[in-house]
Amino acid sequence: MKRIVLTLAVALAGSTAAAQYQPDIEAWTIDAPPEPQTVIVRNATLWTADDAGILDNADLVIEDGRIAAVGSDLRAPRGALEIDGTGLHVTPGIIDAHSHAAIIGGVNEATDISTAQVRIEDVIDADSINIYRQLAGGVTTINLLHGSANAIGGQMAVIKLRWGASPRELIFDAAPAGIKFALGENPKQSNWSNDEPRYPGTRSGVAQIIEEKFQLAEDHQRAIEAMPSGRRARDVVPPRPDLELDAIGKILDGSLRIHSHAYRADEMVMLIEVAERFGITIGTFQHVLEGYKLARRMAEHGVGGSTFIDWWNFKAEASDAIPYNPALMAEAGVLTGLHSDNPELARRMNLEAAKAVRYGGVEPHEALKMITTGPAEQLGVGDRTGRLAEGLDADFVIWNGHPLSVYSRVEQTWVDGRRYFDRETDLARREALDTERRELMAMVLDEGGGDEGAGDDEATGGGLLGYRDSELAHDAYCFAHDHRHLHAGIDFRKGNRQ
Amino acid sequence: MRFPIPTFRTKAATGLTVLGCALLAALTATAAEVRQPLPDAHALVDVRVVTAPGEVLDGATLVIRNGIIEAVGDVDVPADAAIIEFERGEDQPPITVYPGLIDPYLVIAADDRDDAPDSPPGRHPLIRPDVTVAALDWPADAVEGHRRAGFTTALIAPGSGLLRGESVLANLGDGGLSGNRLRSGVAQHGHLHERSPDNGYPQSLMGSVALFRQTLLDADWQQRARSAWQNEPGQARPEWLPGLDALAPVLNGDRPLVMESRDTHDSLRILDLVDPSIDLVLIGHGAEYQRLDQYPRTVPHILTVDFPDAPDVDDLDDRDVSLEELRHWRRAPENPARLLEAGVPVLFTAHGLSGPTDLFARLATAIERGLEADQALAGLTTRPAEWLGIADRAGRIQTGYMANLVVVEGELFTEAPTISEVWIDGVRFELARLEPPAVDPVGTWALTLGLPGMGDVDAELVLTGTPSSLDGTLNTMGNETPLSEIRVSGKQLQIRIDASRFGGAGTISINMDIDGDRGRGNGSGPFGEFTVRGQRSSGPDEEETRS
Amino acid sequence: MKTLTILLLAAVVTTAAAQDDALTVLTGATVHPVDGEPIDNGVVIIRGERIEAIGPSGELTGTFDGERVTVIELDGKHVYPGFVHPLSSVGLTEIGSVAGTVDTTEMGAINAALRTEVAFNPDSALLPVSVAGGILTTHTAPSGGLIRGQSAVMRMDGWSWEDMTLEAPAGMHIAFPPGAADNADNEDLATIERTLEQARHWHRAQAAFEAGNAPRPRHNAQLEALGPVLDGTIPLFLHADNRAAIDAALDWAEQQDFGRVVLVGGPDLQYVADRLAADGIPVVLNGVYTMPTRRWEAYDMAYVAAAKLNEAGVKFAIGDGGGGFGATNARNLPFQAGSAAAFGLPKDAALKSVTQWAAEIVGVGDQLGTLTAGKRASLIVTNGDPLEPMTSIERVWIDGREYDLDRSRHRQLYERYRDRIAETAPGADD
Repeated sequence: MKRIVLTLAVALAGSTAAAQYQPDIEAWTIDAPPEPQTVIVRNATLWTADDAGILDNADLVIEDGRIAAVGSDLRAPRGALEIDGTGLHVTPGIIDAHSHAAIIGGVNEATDISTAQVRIEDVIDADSINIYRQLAGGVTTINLLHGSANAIGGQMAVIKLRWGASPRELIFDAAPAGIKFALGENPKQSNWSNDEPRYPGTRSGVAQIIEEKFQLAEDHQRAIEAMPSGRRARDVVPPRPDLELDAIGKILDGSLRIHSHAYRADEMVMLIEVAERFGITIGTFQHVLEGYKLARRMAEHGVGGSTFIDWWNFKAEASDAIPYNPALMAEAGVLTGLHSDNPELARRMNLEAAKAVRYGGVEPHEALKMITTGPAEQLGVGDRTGRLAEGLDADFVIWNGHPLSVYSRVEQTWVDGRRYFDRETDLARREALDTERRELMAMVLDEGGGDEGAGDDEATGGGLLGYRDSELAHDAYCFAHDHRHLHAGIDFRKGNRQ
Repeated sequence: MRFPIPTFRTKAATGLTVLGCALLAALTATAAEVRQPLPDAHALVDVRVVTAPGEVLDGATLVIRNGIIEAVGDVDVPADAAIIEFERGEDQPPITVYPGLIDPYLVIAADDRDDAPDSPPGRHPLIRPDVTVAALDWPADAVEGHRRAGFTTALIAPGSGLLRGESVLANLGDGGLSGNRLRSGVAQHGHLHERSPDNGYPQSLMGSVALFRQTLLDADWQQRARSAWQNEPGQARPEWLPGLDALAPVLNGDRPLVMESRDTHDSLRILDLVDPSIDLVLIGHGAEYQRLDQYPRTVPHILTVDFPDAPDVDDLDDRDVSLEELRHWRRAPENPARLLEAGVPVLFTAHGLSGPTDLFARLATAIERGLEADQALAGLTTRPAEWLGIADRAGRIQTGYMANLVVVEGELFTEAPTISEVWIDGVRFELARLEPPAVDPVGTWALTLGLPGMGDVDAELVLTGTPSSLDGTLNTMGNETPLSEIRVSGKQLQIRIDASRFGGAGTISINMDIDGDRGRGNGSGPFGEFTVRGQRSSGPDEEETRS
Repeated sequence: MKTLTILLLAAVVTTAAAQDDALTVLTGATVHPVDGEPIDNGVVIIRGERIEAIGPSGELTGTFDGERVTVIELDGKHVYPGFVHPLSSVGLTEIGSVAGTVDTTEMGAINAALRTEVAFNPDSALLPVSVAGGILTTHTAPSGGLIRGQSAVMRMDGWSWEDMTLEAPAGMHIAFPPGAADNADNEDLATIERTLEQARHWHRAQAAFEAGNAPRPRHNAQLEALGPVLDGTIPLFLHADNRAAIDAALDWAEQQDFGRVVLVGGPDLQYVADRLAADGIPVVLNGVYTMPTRRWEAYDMAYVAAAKLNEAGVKFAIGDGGGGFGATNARNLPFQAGSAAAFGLPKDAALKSVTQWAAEIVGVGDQLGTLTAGKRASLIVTNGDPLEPMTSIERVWIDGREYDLDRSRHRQLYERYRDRIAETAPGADD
């Protein structure tokens, strides 16, 4: 048998001395792109998503990973990386406040009505190809959320799309902690049958169990506080640690923000009322399909609305979803954002924002804020990202045209002042990847063609090949998903639960 | 206690024709020809001895007495020793004696016995840190298979649950756990990819992680709470969480925690999850070369070497071949060398291979791709001995060490080494010679087993893979039973099945000579010996035409 | 009524005007016929259900002669033909998770006798929502089994399915079993082949009976329904997703000698574009908004599929996957075409892929898909490019009648709660 002892030089981690960023389909092969000390984008149309509005023929200066200046005729030190922005548009990086695009081993811990102890942070997939593909759609920050199977789900993780970084390095350290809640059909398990039915089975029961868990957590907290300190503690039996109640305790002390899946107005008013009685403010309602019906109440409470622009009627509780929801919520003063809940859709959130212009006449710049400033503030990172403003992280996107136009493409996506996506580089890299693949296939053929059946990619749903489970993961308790389109079309009666 | 029958002046070439003689002997223990103790001194003369990685003695004599190495080198043969001499032709490679190999991770299904107690109330079915390997769990099949691959010692670990229980270190001789146990409670074992039975919590990876984390907190709490209650009786007695006391030595850093890792992210997750004060060891997944910079140099890796087969490629225009798989196929054999280069302590295990003898072909590939042969040997001898705290008595051929040896015709780290015998505690196990496969048995076989007094039993044998790496099942009376071992030697197919699957003890072995699509042979099991006839209905050729 | 100054072509001036033949004249807009250059300040004359003429206002000469004429001034607006959805389940499904509202998927493998139109719900809430998005025609197909049944081209407005049906059967749908791509002995494919063979036999027997040479064969609705696809009267819509399956499906279709085949497939269609072009097989591309087929492929693999088909000369319509969830958002179909244009498809081809070519592929090219004299007057009035999500669709005509966009439940709820929010504004009178 012929053996090839040569080691491939391509795509080996750390094998290239030059700091040339080589985007790859495998994150582990990638060294972080270099961080130029200064970058200046000249003469572009800047969509600041801030009070400055849209600036024509303007410049953007980046220093040390932060936005140093936004304005006209700016100067940059010698040696700065210059980008000619003539004819191009620049927006802040897109932020997706509802994603499951990089979660390993299940999006739901669906077994109990409360699983506050589980953490997405433990199961982030830094190798999910969705990270790179969403960068290619201008997304720079995503909120990885637990699914909606239970009233109190798991703790979320906000990550920046630093393709190539480790799971820990992906985490957006400035983001306040948050936890998923869910109301309505999913926690009450309306759309599937269980051998052993789980309490609750009504919206009243969901309300009751949330309140009960809050009370249990208060009691647990009191027991911990009652512990003496110092030497005396050694003789007192301490309360048993409880990661679930600890987490719920943090909700009550305000250090863990609620992001609650909710569709109908009644259930949202319920959670607001319960929260107010416990003295807390809800971070966001997720999906918030009937948000327009209680928009004033939401604004009064201070809860944000993170919504689909146009998903409707996939469940009974989604029959009053309307695409005018973002426009109406914004009109009523609700901090409004648009999210994907879908790794395929997340690649073109700019077009979701464009629909807010169609439905309800939102100004394009305001619509852009719904995928930048809005979700940034909802996630508590509005002072770090989401706008083109001095001092913020240099998370931005360069478009070849109007950012809300269907005919526009992302040319470059920058995170922390580093260029993680560059269409030109991507196009050039394809050939190298193809060559590498062919060389490796030639080696296999040389050795007899490989093992029949071994390593054969079984097509997953919709004929997709070679994907990691995490890349096709979705909240199985939201109906109507298939793999190819991820939410485009499936016969729901097949169940499709994970 | 049984003693082997010493064979004087054995010609290695004559070998034993019956594969698994030790097994047959075990099944017919009463048939020993000599019942009384024999002199227990042996001398292997004129052999090449690799006393430790990189240390070789040529033309040496190795003296064994009472299970211990008495002397090695240019030494005299004691007058009372049985002399063991190997006849070698001019062109034959020298007989080489290596230290017995140590597998630091031999997983068994402990506590899965019918007579095992049910989980007591209050205990989570996945939290089993107090499970220990009991005499009844002794994996006689695996022990025998491991011996054939030159292993003489193994860390035997329980294999189910998130926290799985404690391993036992034992030699791999006959005589069960009681005859071989070196040390109990060596390490605690865990694995994050377990889901609760009956759809209970947890059913997701993040749930398993949370449960794992909660369990370590509970174990710590149990120590504190019990101690506080001992100090001060006038308070409510804390609830007692069964099993968790077994975690105390782990939390105190006194007992290693061995975590099986599934992939790169799993390793990083475990490294994050486990406090640095805990003595952590990872069972590797084979792709550590990815994100290698993320692995601390202080955490030893027990590496599997089940390198992937090449993906199926039709032609260069085949779009459906994954680049990721091609890369991993290409890179995986470099993994051991890369970890060592990076300064990570590496041990090797046969875990994950379809059979322990596959180890050598894989290691030979790894050596071709940069692994030093001495490192391969160290990872199977001195390094596990050190980790397991038996470096003063195992892992080397040295005076005073246990007489655990592997005898090889030539080199050990070749694609298919000829391991002719192993010695464990001074007891000699002669192994049948394996010839290179001369037939391809892949396919579906209809077998007829002629059992004395019971008539014919029909069974279906399904074999997949290649002659050098086979997988298969035996289907009989509606049951699909995995084969514990499958090999081809010359024209003979040799398979073994764990007899407990059929309610018996020990092993069922079948040897069948293959001629085209017909087979003929015999077998043995707890119910006696039987004849075997086989007819292949679909062969490897048909498999190929399918795609 | 205003004085009309519009001059009409003499040829189109007629005298008698029944109510149904009322004239509607759209003026002032940029008219996009799709099969020709846009006409600035164009005129569309609608008589009854049909377009009578289109052209630049200056070139249309003639006078109205006592007819009942409605003139619609659309200065600054754009007029396009309505979109034709090439493959959806609109009309068969309502709420995906409520089984009682879903009629997309029949049980069993052989469903040739199923007729789509008879289950088409004229009062589905999805219809006005789709119309508001410019989807004025749908080719709706069933989706259960191997031989799935007969599709129908449906108008989106009407009182009953009988008056909404434009073409039925529009095609027979067969799902090529993915497992048959690399296995000649695939059982599902064998089932399909056996059924087709039985159908050929049945029709031979029927023909013999009709010629007086044999007794009447016993009824068999399934086999009878397969007649039109076997003799090429209607096209076979052959569904195959990945390249291997597509190749095998094309081989199989050739071997079976179907008269007309439309291939329905995923973005892998681009890899067989040359073959499709050479064989003259039109396709429905499902769709632009999908994941690349293979993980190791470029991020825009699905985005560029339409451009590659176009470059190779394949006639194609852009679809959206057509399933239940897609049905609620059939209105997003044009955006998929627009996104394909962002990745290399010429804009005019993008527009054709959801109008003219879609109409032609589903067999109503003579009635719909372009603004052409004699075709159905199903058109939309927009404030811009209708493939742009930012664009608003302001008015809609279906078969010559203006459609009330407020029939969309979304608009109704919007208007109701918009008023509520305005009323409850801080400082507003409560």
